[in-house]
Amino acid sequence: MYSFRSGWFNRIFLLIVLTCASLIIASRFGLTFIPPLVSTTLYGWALLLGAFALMLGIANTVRFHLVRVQRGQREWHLSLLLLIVFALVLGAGISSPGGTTGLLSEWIFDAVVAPGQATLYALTGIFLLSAAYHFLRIDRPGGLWILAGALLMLLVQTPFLYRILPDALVDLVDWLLSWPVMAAMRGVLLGGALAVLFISLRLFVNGAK
Amino acid sequence: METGSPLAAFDCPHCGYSNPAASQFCVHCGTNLARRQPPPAPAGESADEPNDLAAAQETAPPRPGVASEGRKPSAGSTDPGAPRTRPHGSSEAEEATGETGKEKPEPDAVRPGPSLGGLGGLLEPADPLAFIASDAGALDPTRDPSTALSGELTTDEEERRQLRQLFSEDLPLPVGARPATTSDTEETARNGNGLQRQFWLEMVLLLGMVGALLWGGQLPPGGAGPHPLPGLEQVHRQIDTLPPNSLVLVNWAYDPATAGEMDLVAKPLIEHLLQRQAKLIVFSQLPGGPATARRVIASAEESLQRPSRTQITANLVIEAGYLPGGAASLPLLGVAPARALPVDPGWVELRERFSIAALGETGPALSLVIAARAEDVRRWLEQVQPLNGGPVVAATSAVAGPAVRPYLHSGQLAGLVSGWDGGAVYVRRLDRARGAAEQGRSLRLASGQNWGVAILILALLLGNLAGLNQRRYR
Repeated sequence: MYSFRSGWFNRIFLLIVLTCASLIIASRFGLTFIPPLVSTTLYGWALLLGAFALMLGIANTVRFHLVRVQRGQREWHLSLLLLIVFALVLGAGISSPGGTTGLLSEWIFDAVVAPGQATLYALTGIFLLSAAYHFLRIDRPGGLWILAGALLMLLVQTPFLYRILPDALVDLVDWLLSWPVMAAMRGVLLGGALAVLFISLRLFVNGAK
Repeated sequence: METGSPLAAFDCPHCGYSNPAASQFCVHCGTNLARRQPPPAPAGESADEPNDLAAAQETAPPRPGVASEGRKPSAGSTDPGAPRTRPHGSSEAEEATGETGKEKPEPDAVRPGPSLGGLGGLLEPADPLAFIASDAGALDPTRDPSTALSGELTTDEEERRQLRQLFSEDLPLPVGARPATTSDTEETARNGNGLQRQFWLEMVLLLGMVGALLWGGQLPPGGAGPHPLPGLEQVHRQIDTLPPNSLVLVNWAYDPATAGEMDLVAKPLIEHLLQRQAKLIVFSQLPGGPATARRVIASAEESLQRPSRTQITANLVIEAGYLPGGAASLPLLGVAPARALPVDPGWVELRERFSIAALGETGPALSLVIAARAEDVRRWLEQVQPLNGGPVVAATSAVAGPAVRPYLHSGQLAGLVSGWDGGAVYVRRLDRARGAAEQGRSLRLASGQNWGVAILILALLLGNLAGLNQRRYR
């Protein structure tokens, strides 16, 4: 937003953004002088922009990896593999009369996409284990509390311990979730919302100068 | 990791943490220190020698951006190569000097490209001190940060460093690393601990926990496994009271990555909705969401043991596909769902088009958000629910459950089912017998979770034993 050579370009774009934001804010506050059609149209444009950004992202990815393959940069083989897989999946979707519900697309989803995503996500378990081993230590500052909280949650959420755990321990965890954790979560939500609001305002103010 | 002698310590220019001299990155904040190391020693000299390194730091010529980075900048320093507060903006320039090994590049060469410069400005964290500063030009985005900041490294820089150090004190350190001794802790050691607030906070929390242990058993029982699972009853009631052919908008916000857990939560709810003959309009904002939804809905139909699955699909489920745009496209679902839903008019049958049009006129009887992340539920409650005003129930992963509960307590969420145990309890409330295969699958999943958590508990205990053992021998 700041990188255009002419300051007027920046100001015009900023004016458009501010106008759209003002209209949306006014409609969300229920101000009647804003016709519903205006906000609906703006929402529709946001949807179109989202779809356009998706296409742009795909084009950018393809271009980026094509350049890597052409120049033979480091690990260009992986870029080539990505492009081949991209072409295959795209071809499968386009060539099938059923589109994404075609036989080939469904097979690709079941045999490649679903197991691949599940495997990658399952790796986070390994990272979690490694991090817990290295960092959840009792001798760190505040480590006792963090360790006690983690162990409590793990113990209570483990099915094979349901029968042997005393009810008081389960009640303790529920109390923790309902009171201190809930209070912290609300604080985080409120603080996060305020932070987003102020950062947005700061961006506007910075851009206007 | 050896911390070495004090001479070998290398202060991070970003947070001030004292790192070992050979560190590539700051162990506190992750700042790249490799580019800020002093130049390599000439041939025949050992670069690993701490004294040599310290001497090199002292005697090295003041190369901007490189040589003086190892020292803390003095107050009022006007050295243009002193550490800056803009790691994004400066990294490219440092990379350029580090890779080519040449002298200081021209200012035009170190300036980041237009697009990267804008991105760096967006990603730069808010700096409250910049607002306090009276110099209005400090916020001027058109100024070149590399030249603007070079002459302003005064006491502000030191204050910012202290602030960063203050807020990063409790970050985890790698095993063996010692936290930096700051002037504050030295002062505390001289004066004694005094009446520390932390102690009293911990005592209050401890008393609260003991109180919950003593009197928690007298609370009314939840009756849903070990936990009360708040919100589950409300979900069941909401779906059970739906009249036939009610329009239910389903936001399918998970994909195969989290399907291992989420399928167990989503399937009972879909089953219940199909039992009530609700008309589901299913869409997703994830590329893999629609295909995941198809599989779970087909599985739910099988569980219902109806004679004709095809007929059910045709009558009760409309696949609205993938909706791009993230949170920005959600409000359109609230004000004009018929326009927002990405249904291809080429293959949607006429009656389905009428259903979607009716959704725009009357709004959904119920919205169901099936999400692995709490953020998706929050987005729906912020962007859609205030616009259409309909009741919303959510099915989430166990991790997202606590983060979503505040919305349940505030009434914005009409019901909540979270975690596989929530799904298991919901299945028991459905009016049907469970097959042996279904029970076997559920048992396998529970067994897998058992093993996973048992290993995690074991790793925690082993890690602590190893740490204590290491400490004893040190």
